[in-house]
Amino acid sequence: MAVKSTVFGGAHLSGSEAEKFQNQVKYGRPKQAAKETVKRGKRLRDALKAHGSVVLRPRNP
Amino acid sequence: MPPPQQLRLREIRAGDIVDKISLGHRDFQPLKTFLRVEAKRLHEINISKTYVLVPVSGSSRVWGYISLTNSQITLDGEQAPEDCREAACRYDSLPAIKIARMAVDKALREQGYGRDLVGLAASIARTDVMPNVGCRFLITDAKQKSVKFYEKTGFTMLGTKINKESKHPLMFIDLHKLVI
Repeated sequence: MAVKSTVFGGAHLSGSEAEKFQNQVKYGRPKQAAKETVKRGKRLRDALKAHGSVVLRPRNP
Repeated sequence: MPPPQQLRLREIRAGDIVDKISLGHRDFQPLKTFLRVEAKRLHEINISKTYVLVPVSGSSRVWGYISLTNSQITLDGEQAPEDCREAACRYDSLPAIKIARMAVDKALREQGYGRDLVGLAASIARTDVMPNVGCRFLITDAKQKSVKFYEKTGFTMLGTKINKESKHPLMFIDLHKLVI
């Protein structure tokens, strides 16, 4: 049972780690925070693709 | 140097100043070293792609960055494939995009830039890679100090004791299940 991961490689899960991962994927529900993260990023991604950059402003300056 | 009021997010470039970022803790030294030594080169040779935060005008000093690379999750479990109703579990290698490195200067913390960088990564993976190439997960090996941050952005911790207590626990978002 182990998690082996490298910065520019994959994550190798064995034993109970692999089993837990499979269960979390099988039964896990999408998180609202993840949806919001993708939505937030979509605006940036679209602007980046269209213009090569996007200007950000601090939310809590 | 005081932090700029506005920042531009774009791909890293040859002339960017990559040795001024201040992260405030020795645990983050590898993130500084990566930016200074490797980020540009790996970007150019397509091993990873790095997006930086630089001032809107003037200096191109890097105040934050995120580096993405292709990855995979390899499973060597004992669960028989036929027992798994989730189709993705039937394969022992699952494609992923990895947040390999990410950092924001300590002067700009708690201002939403980190969330923006993760959002960009999630959107690239969900909008560009998943539908055109195939990619099931966005993953990262989080530092313990960053686990709460990643949880707030929607990452799930691989929930084993070994992983949760490791120096860099694996966290993931299942992109396939996100209906946007």
